[in-house]
Amino acid sequence: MSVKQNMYNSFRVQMLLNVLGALILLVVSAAYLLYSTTRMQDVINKSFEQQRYIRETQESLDEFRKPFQEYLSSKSSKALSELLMVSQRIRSSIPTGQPIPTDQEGLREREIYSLVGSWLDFADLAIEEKRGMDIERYTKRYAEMQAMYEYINREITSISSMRFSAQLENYEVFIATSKNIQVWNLMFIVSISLFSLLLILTAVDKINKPMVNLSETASEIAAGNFEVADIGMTNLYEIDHVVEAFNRMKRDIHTSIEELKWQRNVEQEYMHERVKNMKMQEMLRRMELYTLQAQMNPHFLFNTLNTGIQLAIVEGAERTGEYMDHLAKLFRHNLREKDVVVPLRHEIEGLESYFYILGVRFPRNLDLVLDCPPEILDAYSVPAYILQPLVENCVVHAFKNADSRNSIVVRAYREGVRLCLSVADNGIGMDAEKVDSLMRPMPALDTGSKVMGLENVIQRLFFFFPDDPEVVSIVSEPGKGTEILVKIDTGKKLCTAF
Amino acid sequence: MKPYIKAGLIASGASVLISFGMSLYLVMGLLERVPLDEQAVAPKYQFLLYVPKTNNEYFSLIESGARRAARSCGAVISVHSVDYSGNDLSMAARSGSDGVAVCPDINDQSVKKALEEMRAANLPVVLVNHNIPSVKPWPFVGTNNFDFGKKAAQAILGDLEPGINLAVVYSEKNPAMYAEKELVEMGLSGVLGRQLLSAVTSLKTDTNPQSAEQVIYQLMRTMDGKATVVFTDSEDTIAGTQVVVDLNLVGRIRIIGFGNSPEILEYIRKGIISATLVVDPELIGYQAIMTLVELKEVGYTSNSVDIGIKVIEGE
Repeated sequence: MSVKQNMYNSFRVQMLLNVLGALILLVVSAAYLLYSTTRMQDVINKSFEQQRYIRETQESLDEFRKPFQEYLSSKSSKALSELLMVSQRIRSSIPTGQPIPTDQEGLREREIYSLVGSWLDFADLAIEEKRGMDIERYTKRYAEMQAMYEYINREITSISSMRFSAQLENYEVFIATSKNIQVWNLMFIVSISLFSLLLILTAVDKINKPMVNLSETASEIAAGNFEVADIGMTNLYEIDHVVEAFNRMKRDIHTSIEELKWQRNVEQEYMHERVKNMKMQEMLRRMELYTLQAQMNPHFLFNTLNTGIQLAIVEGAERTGEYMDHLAKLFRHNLREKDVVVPLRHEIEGLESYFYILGVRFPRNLDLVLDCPPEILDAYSVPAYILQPLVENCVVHAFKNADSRNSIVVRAYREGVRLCLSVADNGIGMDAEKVDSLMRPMPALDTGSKVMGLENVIQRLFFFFPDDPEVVSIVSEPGKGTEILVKIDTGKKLCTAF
Repeated sequence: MKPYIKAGLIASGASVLISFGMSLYLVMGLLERVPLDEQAVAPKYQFLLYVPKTNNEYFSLIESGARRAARSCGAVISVHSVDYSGNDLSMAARSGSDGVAVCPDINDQSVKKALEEMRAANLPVVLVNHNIPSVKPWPFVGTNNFDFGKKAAQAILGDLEPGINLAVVYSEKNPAMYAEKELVEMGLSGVLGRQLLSAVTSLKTDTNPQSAEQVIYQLMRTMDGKATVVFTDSEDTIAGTQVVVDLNLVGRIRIIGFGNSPEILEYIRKGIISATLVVDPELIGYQAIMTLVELKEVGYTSNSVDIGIKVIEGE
C-alpha cells in the first residue's frame, strides 16, 4: 500500500490546522465579545451624547444672551467681542450637512439647530441696527429673538423630555437585554472553548490511535500471534510510513519463522524416519538370526532320525540306545540354546554329540577330529551354532564324488587376542570365485533368499562383527580341501543391538 | 474518531451556533432599537405638518396619511401643534424644512401672518382641511364645505316630510368646518330652500367629547316639534345620538352624522341615525404631502385638491 503524500495528509499540517483552527475560533469569539460589549457601550453613549450636545447648545445660548443684552444697553465693545466669540463658537458647533434623520426627536433637533442659526442671524442684524441706532427695529428684533429663544428652550425641554422617556424605556430594555447577552456570551465562550478542546483532542486522537494500534499489534506479535491483521492506514503519511514499515516487518518475521518451523519439522520427520529405519533393521537382524537358528533343526532331525531307524533295524538295542542318547543330547543342546552368544564349551559339547552321530552314520569313510584345549572352553564365548553348520557343510558338500578317506578336523586355539576356530576338510575344495561369493557380506535388508549352512554362518559372523572383516576366512582350492577359519576378537563384544 | 468525542463536537458546535446566534440576535435587536449608524438612505425632504392641538382621531388620520405619503416618496415629516397665538407656526419659516402642511386653527389672522412669513421665505406651503382666503391663495387639500352642506341637505331630503327645523352642530374638534360654516349653511339652504321652517340654527361644541350632550339638551329647550340635527364631528355624533336615545327622542330628532366609526354605522343599521357624511382624512394627509413634493420638485401644483364626501344612508 503506498502512502499518498500531499500537504493535507501531513501530520504537521493537520496538527497546525487543528491548533490554528481552535485559536482562530477563540480569537473570533473574543473579537465578537469585544464587538458586542463595545456596541452596547456605544448604545449608552449615543443616547446620552445627543442629549448632552443639545444641552450644551442651550447653555451656549444662555451664555450669549448676557453680553448681547449688555451690548444692546451699553454698546460695550467688550460685550460685543464676547458675544461675537460665543456666536462664533455656537455657529461652529451647529452640525451642518448632516443627513435628514428619520426619528421625531432627531427631526425636531434639526429644526432647533436651524432656529439657533436664524436666532444668531437675528442677533447680528440687531447688532447692526443698534450700531445704526435704529431703535424701533432692534427693539422689535429683540422681541422676536426673545420669542424664538423661548420657543427653542421649550422645544429643547420637550425633546429632552421625550428622549428621557425613550431612554427610560430603552434603559429597562437595555438592562434586560444586556443580561441576556452576557449569559449567551458566557455560554458561547464556554461552548467554543469546549469545541476547540475537542478539536485538539480529535487531532491528538488521530495521531494516538495508530500508535496504540502499533503498540497492541507489537504485543500480539511478541506473544507469537503473527496472524493479527495489518494496521490500517491513517491518511497521515508520516505515521503511515511507520505503519507500513511495521506491517512489512511483521510479514517478514512471520515468513522467516514459518520457514524455520518447516525446516525443524523436516528435520524431525527425518530423525523419526531414521529411528524407525534403525528399529526396523534391528528387528530384521533378530528375525534373520532366529530364522538361521530355526533353519538348522529340520535338516539335522531329518537325517539323524533316518540313521536311527536304520540302526534299529540292523543292530540290537544297545547301540541304538547310545545313538539315541547322543541324539537326545544334541536335541537338548539345540533346543536349549536360545541365546545369541554361548560359551565355547556349549559349542564343543554339541559338536561332540554331532561327531558321534556322524561317526555312526559314516563309520568307514569319515574321520572326525576335535582338538580343543580344555582351558579355553569356559574362557570365551562365541556366537551359537557356528561349528556344527560348518561341519555339516563339509559332510554335505566337501566329499561329493570323493574316493579317498574323508576327514574333518575341528580345532580351537588362541592367537593373540583372537580365539581361532578352524574347520578343515580334505574334500573337493572350492574355486576362488566360489570363495569370493561366499565371503561377500549380504545387505542387511536382503532377506528374501534363504541362506543355509556355511553361508549362514559366514553372514552371521559378518553381522555380529560388522567392523572386523577378518572374523571369517576361507582357505580353499579345488581338489585340496577347505579350511574355514573363524577368528573372533575376544576384546570386542558381539554387535547384537543398535 | 471516538463516538464520545464526535458527540461532544456536535453538541458543543450546536451550542456555539445557538449561543452565538442568540447573542447576535439580541445585540442586533438592541442596535435596531437604538441605531448607531447613519441610515443607509437619508430622506430627501423634511416636511412639517401643523395640526390643531387635539386628540381627535380625525387629525390622527390626517397625520397617518401624511406619514404614509412621506414614506412613499422618501421624505419625513415632523408634526407640530398649531397654537392659538400662531407663535409656533411662525417658527416654521426658520426651521430649515423643505415645506409645510398646515391644518389652520380658527384664528385665521395669526395663521395667515405665519403663512405669509413662510411665503416670504420661499417655503412651499399647503393648507389642509381648511382654506384661508388670500389674494395669493395657497394650495388647498381637503373637502369643499359648500359641497358638504349640499350632501347633508340631500340626505335630509331623503325623508320627505314637509317643514324642517334644522340645526348644525359645529365643533372645535373640526375647526375647519366651523371656520367655513357659512359655506356649509349655504349648501344646506341651497338644496332645502323652502323646506326649512326657519333659519338654520348653528350650535358649537368644544374639544370635550361629551359637550354634544349639552348641546342636544339646549336644542330641546329651544326648538319645538320635530328637528333635524347635522353633526360635523364623529365624537359629537356618537355623544349626541346617545342622548337622543337616552331621552327617548328617536323619531322626533332626525340625525345626520359625521364619520363612519363602527358605533355610527351601528346606529344607522338600527335607524337611529338617518345618514352619515364621510370624509377620508387619511387621504387628505396623504394628498397634502404629495402636493408638497410636487411643489418642491415641479414648482407649482393645482390650487385645490377636493377629496370628496361620501354619504352612507340607512336602508
